[in-house]
Amino acid sequence: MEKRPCISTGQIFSMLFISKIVISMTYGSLLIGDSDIWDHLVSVPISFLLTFLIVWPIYKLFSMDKKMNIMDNIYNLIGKWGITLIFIYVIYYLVICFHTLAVFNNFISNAVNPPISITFLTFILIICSCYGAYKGLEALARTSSFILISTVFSVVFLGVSLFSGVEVINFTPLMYNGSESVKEGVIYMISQSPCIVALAVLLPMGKGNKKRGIIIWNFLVYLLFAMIIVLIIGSMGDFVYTQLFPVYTAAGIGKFGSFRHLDSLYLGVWISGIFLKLSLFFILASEGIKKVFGEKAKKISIVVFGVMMASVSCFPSFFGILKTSVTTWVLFYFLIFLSLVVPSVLIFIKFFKLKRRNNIED
Amino acid sequence: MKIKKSIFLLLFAIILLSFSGCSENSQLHQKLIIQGIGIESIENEYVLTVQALDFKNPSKEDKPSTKILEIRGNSLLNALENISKQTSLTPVYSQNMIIILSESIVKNSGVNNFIDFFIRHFEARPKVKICVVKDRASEYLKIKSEDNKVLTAKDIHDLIPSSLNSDVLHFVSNLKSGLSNSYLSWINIEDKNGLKQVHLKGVGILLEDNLVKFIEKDEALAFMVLKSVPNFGTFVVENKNLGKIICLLEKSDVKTNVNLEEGKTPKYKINLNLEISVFSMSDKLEFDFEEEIKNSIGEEFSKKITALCSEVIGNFLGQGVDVFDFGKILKNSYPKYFKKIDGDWKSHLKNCKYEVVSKVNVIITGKEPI
Amino acid sequence: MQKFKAEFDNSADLCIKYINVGNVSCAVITLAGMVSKDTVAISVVNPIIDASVKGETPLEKFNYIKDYVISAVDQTQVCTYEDAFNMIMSGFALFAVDGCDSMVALGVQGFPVRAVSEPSSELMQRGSREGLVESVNINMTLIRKRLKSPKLKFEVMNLGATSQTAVCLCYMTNKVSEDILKKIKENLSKVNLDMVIEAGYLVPYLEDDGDFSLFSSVGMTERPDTICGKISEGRVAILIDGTPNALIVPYLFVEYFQHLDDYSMHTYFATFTRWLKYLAFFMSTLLPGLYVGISTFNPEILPGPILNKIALAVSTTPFSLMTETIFIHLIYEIMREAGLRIPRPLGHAVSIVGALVIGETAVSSGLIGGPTLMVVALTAISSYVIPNLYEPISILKFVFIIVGGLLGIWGIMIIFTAVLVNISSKKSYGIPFTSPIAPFKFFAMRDVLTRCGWSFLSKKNIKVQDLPGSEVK
Repeated sequence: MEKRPCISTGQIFSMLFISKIVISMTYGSLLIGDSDIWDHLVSVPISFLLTFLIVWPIYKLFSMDKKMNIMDNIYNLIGKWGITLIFIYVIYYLVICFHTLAVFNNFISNAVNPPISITFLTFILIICSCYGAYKGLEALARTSSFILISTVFSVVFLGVSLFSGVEVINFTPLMYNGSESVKEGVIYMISQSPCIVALAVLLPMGKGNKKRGIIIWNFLVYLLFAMIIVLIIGSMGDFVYTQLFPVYTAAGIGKFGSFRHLDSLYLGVWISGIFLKLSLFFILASEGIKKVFGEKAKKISIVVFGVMMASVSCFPSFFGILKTSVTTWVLFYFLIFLSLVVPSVLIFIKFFKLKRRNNIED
Repeated sequence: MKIKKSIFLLLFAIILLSFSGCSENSQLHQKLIIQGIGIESIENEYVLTVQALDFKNPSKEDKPSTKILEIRGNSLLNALENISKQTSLTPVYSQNMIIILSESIVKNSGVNNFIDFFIRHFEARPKVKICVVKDRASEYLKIKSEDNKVLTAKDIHDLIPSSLNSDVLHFVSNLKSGLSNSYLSWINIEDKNGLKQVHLKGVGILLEDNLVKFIEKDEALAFMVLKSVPNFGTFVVENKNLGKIICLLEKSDVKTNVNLEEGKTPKYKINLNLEISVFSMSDKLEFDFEEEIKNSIGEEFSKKITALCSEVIGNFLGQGVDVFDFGKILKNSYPKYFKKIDGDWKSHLKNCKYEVVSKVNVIITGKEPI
Repeated sequence: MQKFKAEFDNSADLCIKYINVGNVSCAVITLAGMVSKDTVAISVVNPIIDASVKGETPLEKFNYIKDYVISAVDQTQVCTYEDAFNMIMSGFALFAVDGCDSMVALGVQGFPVRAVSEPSSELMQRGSREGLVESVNINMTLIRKRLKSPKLKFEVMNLGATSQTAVCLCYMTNKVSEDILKKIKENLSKVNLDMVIEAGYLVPYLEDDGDFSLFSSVGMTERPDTICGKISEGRVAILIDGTPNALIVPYLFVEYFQHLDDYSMHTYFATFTRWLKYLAFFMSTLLPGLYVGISTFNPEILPGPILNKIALAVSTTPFSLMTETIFIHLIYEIMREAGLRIPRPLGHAVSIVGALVIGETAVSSGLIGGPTLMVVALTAISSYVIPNLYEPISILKFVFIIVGGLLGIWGIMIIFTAVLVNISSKKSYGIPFTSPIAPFKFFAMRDVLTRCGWSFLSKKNIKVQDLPGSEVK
């Protein structure tokens, strides 16, 4: 029996929470287009409930055999033909890495515009993320505890600093211009939840109460989202719509006593989160490779993924194509297929096989 | 394994070193750390006056020494680009504290022509204060104070109270909302005993992105009260028993509610909860610090401020200018009704009714004769 | 005797005292300086000369002398030359009788030892002034007299093919994890060194995982009371003969910030000093890097007056901020090394040169900026707060300065996270190096984030193997 990394449920969800936060922090017109941010407050509870619905097949499949992740299930139930499906999971995890890097690239070039080569910075980030992935899930899980502490502190700090600047008059009526923005908000929030698909691999690796973990994680993620919306709209009003990354701008205007320009704090936490997310999804993708080609291939695959990402970021035009083609809708359909359709089919096959076995035994 | 590690480390070092040249960073003293920007238009050109930290001629005191640069360009962006050409320094906008606009540029070409830079530039801060002046913007960044030193951008920044919300964030927010009108704090130079002094004189009101009028004196006082800006100026209240009383607004809490009357006309009720301090009064009448006297002063002040505020609101509404966020309040309270008039809000504004109610709390701080 | 003479090649310190007992020739073999001459004379040689030995054969005479004549308490029968050489070199006297195939080793050690004194590298404000010495036996005594429990066990083994250094495992049988003990013994058995002269020689062998890490999972102490505290939590102390440093395994990251003094202070002050240590760690590692990174790439973070002062200083110096910071740090490290190695009488000269050259001349001549010097001084002082972490800190600060100078705070954060991953991936004998923070155990925070009062600390003794994430039992 292979030795699987054993981490606590808390650690799994802290990794996923950070992965979600990094995308929430880049929330803005770049990813949501012209959608009304304030209406997304209605999208929050809807997405919260929808997430439970989408997670359910993955959780059900896991609860049928708590030692097997989705890839084991695919391999056991479909056999060698399932390799294609495993590869689709690997591709999805890599697409999420691409997307995260694209967001990073866009954010750094548009919001920060440092006087250094962004390609160089991306290179260093990829190399270090590969190192994180190489060190394994346990190391990453433990690192996430530290990052989570700093993240929570900075989020609270930013929240408190912005709270005094909230003006109630900026809270316009919800769905004033119809429900289109709400729909867009839901699609955005769900599509930016690759953590649901990550759970398909991570759940068997955790020790502890997963059901409670999913509920708390989901609640906190959407609570944070609601907080972000309320704070940025409340403190910036219509100025929000002039900003590509309003959360970053909000961090810049917040002040806490004599502490100003908290955007640097935001940046620090954000980059650590991006690092963690990339490493996590490298590991998840390498789990698929391991299932098909064995343990040795896993470590090699991490290096290969890193080289892939680095090569892509070297060609700005190709990166641009990826950035535009990996739209919210593509991610949404991909996520629905991998977290709802595939696990449901697997549950059905498993159920069918069990029933047939019981009939034979009878 | 060790060979692999060594190769990995070597590759890492090579990448790190080979890319190290990609850094275009300049040292701190090679940067132009901008403290204040003045923008004006002369002969169809943008004239930019920049107050920046001067590292070549350091002052011996704690205060940093500053230098003034005047740059011209066809557009604001062109003028800004010319800064580095002229100085060979990299401009840094993140430390900028104030943007001073001259009347000419806000009145003629409109704010939209140049404000975009201060919204979108990665170093621009939304909380930078923004103000308008009647004369040349450059004068304000060059003005010398008592000790023959240039008045720093920080000093001008401190002149404008934060509660006035005269910053890029609120200015742009109002500009983009389509409901409320934007306004800018108006600063002015006054000659006092041969010494030039800068002070906050009033407010400049914009219609769309053009400056339409300046308000000052009593109008400005009422505006500040309605915007919850304390300590702007003094109010003189006449009382037949007490004589002239000079009051200073310490605290202003404004709550505006709206009701739709039967004929579907919005009626605004503006509740002013004020706290004033009486620091000087005539010596016509002896009195103690009794509740009765406080009430008497409060009533007089209330009457005056109510009348003043009503007049100011009436003037604004009559001109179709919404600087008190009446549109937003109506939209938030009666969204269905507002949706019907959304596109034509400014014309509806003239028909709106209003009532100002004030409650004054008086603090007597002394009874020195004038 | 010929064998001894041949092996020692007639070494000057080899002493062989021949005594005739009846018609049988006997010998007492010692190494000069390793034994107490008086003890040898009183309890070995004199009794043999004075005694009327019974027995006919050499073996009977040997047994009689061993059992009834020699008064030395510590007696060990030695049957091989190898054992005999080991014993004699450990300060034992060998008694041999011609015609017998065994010898008896007598514990009459009398080599000079340093007196027990206060450890210079681990000073305590309140508490014992006793520190370990070079002799493993004395160190064992120092521990035993503090831990009067039969559960305290010492296990001695010899390491080093030539040096045959006595290495003593010290643990409490009722607290230690069998798995950990087994693994330590396994690791020590892998020591293939010729000489084990110092405790540091064994550290790489005791590091559990083979992966590279800047931080060591083997602790080092000079204090017997610290050892007692550690072994009472299930850890194993390793005493090495010839060195006053004991090694402690498993050793976790949070232990670098714990000091014995914390437990003798008021809880609130101990908690305060502990947080000071955490702050000092971050300051000493990150401050110079952040200083370079922020000043070069993110000046907006700095308040106006500070920015002005830094810019003024930078404008007067010929180097870039990164070069300048590296340069001063290097000078500081050189001076520190010189201060350590230089004969004491010359120590003052180093201080004067350092203060004058760096502190005065370099700044006044405009070679170095005042703020940079201030940052270096702060970094240096902070690193003294946690002296055990000095090695990783001194390397990391250079890494962060370079990264800060090339990539700004973004690079610093990326590398800092990579360092976090490195620390988090480390395990010390199956226990995560970062435990009990990650994996988190709230109860254990009583002695990590705070230092709770003794009434609470004594509620439950957490053994090291019980920490969260532990793979050992």
